[in-house]
Amino acid sequence: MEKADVVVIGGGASGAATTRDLAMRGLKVIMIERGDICSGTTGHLQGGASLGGRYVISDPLHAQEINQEVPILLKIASHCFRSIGNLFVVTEPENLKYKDLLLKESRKYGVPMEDVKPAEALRREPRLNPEIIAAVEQPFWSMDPFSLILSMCLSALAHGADIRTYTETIGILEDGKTVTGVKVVNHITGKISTIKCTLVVVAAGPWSSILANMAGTDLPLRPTAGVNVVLSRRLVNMTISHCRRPSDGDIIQPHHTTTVLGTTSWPVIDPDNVSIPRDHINSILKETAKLVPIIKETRVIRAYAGVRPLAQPPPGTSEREISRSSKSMELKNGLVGIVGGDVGTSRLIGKRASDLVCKLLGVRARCDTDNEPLPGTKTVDPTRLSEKYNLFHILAHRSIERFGSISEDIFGKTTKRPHHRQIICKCECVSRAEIEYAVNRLKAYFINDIRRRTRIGMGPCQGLYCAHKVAAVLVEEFNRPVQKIHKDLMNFLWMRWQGQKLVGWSHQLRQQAMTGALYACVGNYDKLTELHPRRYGPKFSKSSHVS
Amino acid sequence: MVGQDFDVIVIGTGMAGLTAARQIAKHGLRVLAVSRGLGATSVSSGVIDILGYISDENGSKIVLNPKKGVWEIAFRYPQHPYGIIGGGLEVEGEERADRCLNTLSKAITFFKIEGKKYTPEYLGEIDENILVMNTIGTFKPTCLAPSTMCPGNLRLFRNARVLFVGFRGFPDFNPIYVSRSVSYLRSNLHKICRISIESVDSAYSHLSTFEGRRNIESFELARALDREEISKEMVHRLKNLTDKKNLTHIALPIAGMNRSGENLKNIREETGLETFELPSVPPSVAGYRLQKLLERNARRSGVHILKSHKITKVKVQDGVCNSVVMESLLRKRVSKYSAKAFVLATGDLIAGGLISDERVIREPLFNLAIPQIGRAKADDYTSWLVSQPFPACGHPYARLGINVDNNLRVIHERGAIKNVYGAGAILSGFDYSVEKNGFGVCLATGHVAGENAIDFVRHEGG
Repeated sequence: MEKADVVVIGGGASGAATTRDLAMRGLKVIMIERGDICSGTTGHLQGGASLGGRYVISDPLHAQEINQEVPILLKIASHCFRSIGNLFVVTEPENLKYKDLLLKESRKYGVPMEDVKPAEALRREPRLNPEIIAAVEQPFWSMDPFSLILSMCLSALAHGADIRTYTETIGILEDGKTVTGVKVVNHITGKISTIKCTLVVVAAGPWSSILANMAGTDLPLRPTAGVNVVLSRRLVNMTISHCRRPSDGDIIQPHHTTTVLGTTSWPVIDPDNVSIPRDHINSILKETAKLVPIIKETRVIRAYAGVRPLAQPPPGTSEREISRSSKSMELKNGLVGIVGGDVGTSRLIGKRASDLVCKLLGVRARCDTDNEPLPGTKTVDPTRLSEKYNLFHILAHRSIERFGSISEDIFGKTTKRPHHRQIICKCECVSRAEIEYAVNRLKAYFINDIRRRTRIGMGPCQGLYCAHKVAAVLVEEFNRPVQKIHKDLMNFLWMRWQGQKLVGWSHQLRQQAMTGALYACVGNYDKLTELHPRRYGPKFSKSSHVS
Repeated sequence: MVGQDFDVIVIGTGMAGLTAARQIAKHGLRVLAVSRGLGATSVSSGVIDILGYISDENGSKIVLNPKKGVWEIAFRYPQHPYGIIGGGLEVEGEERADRCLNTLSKAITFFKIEGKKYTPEYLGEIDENILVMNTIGTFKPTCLAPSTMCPGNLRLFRNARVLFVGFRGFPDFNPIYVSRSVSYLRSNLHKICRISIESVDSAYSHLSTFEGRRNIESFELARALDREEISKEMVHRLKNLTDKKNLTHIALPIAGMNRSGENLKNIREETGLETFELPSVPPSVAGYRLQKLLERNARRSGVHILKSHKITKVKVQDGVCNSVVMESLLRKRVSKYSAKAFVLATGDLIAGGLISDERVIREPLFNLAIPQIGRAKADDYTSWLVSQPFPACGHPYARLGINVDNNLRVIHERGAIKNVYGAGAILSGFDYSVEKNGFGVCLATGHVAGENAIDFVRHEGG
């Protein structure tokens, strides 16, 4: 039996931040995650950070937090953020009042806001609807949540934490009325084991209440889902939002090679079972096209939904009104729970949870997470990197966008094998070296995990042309049994398909026909059923969650 | 507006369109074949599927004898393109099936004879499917294949010891993955027919011209291998690789663009081993070669081929089409071409013969009706796709296409257009991805569309 001071359940933003914070305070921490890092809520975000945004009106408490936290993240994780700015656009005269309110409230938080004349807004964003009435700009960053949380995990590892993915909690151990550990199953080896600890932190986002139930207590949550729609290319330079009260389809955000449109909001019961309503996709497309009309003609490549772990509000509150602010609380002896929060305030979530843990354990240690930079933060010049390792310039550039200064380490390992600098995924420009690094150093087991770390299969072709090449790398480089890799490949394509099937029209349908022609017609994957997994989707022991 | 008159205008220059065009030209008629872009034939894997699987509610079974398989399809499904060329609903089951086979055999024979003038020529018989491996490590049944791929027919393998050879810096083909995958699939192969692969192995070959390169493209590699010195180097390296290895076969992803046949012969002579190319996923050299072969054959038979032209307007009056207006994509010049008959062979969604916009699948040129097939409706996008990416029975949308009568005349909302014949992937009622019959349908319907257009021009077109 293993022992630790603290077990953190959940490998998303709050779990990783808490693990890092506790490890930095010198505690022995084990983080367990039933899937992969960022495979839950954090992996289904829009991925942006502001200094307050519209929260200054709708959620002042949270606005205050973001206003403090985002600058800290920009300092300690600069490689995960790209400054793009946010243009709030007024299209209806009745929203001019909202614009004034936004300007007024933002000033309170010291958020620099600039009134932009429609002509100037159109000059900066030529694809904007020419009929806009007014616009204001404020600072905004596109954020890669995968990269940020991965960096936090790497930092936690460096401080001695233990991170175990594909390890699911199947029971909470108790001694009388005190929680004393967890019982876990490893989905890769199938082994069941127990970990003894003084304290368990439930940081499982919308799944937290299920875990609290396992310990015979309650964590009041209102899991609220939101749909995002992805377009095949970057349409705009800045994030463009409707300047109005938060509603459906408000935001257009450029993200790596794509544009992400968001979002909607509706309560769900089971976060494992969220089906995306088609009318949400339609309303997002309709609303965002009012800002940037070309969206109507752009290929939509997928839709996905994330579930926000919002706190249970007083009866009668709508989902949009619930505060995004996070809270940590002692649920029972030896069990701490977290509600609310988002990636932009993840460091603060970690700090709050760690402060509570330290208080409960009687440990006196200072939080230092706001001072120490995360791995990858050092500035790297893409031109220098590409010259040093003789890389395609675009590869160096993209790799730094994904990994920051970790790229240096990635390509440093290829000096003896220069052909590993070859590009495998052409849409996102991902090299073989990065894929290998993800498996070797970044705890990626499956192709989908490699996707979360490198963005393979996240571009316009959604894995059509690269998935089989990634599978081949896994067989060649890591000697993985080919039958398992075939199943992994099919599972990966299945999971990509789940987002694509909802938007299969226009040129995207054509793209999907191409996928069929490649894998079914040429590859015969539709008939060679021994290549398919017995069950698609992530492997969770769902039965244990039903309470 | 400039333009010319033709007897027949064929829209689309893929497998179906050029099969029809060549047929028409052979009979001495003036025929123009128009294409907008490269088309889907050139991104195909280069093998010609006639029928690979028959799927119904009882599951799907592999077809080893396409002659029997096609007969069964035509017999059972009068509205499948194979059934339609047999006469459709108007003809009794057995006769329909016989007629269909008859036409298909003729089309295949024509294709093979014509193709003989070029290398690599296409080999294979209608009564026997071959099993070919591909560059992503799986295999499928197909019927005709270029002579460069035929030695890779798994059904002929007896105690085979195969070496898969990749090229360093060419990421599209990974010999280690493919060899292990084939090795894993051996047990499945045994279930299908008597095949014995004793061992599979893999190796990488270098080519000095690509020294230091990491992302060689398939076409670049193929063109390089057409050069004397590089091809010699490859043969030499392969000889070293296979020396004392006790092998029987060498599998390569690509052996050249136009000289692949010769290159393989040289390898065979030097190493004493059967050597073959593998069908590949796009961008596929063999598919491009097939497209070029079709174009050369068509030109030799007297077909005028007009490329990079987009048809902007078709003129249909009283159920008869008499002219089309097209725009050159290169010079922005608009011209009007008239003809007595037309063949519509513009392909499916991939090629652009069908388009989907605002959640409707439609035929853009003649605005032809897309009938409901099973539960798939052209105007209900929720009915097009299922949850599985590669279901054994295919996605519902794949069977959507244009409706034709028993003479392959396309059907407009006001009935058939008398002188427009549909052919190829644009037709409804089949899914080539799962049935593995894409080019078979193209050949057969192209052939029939050509003959019917000739008939029309001779008898009714004055």
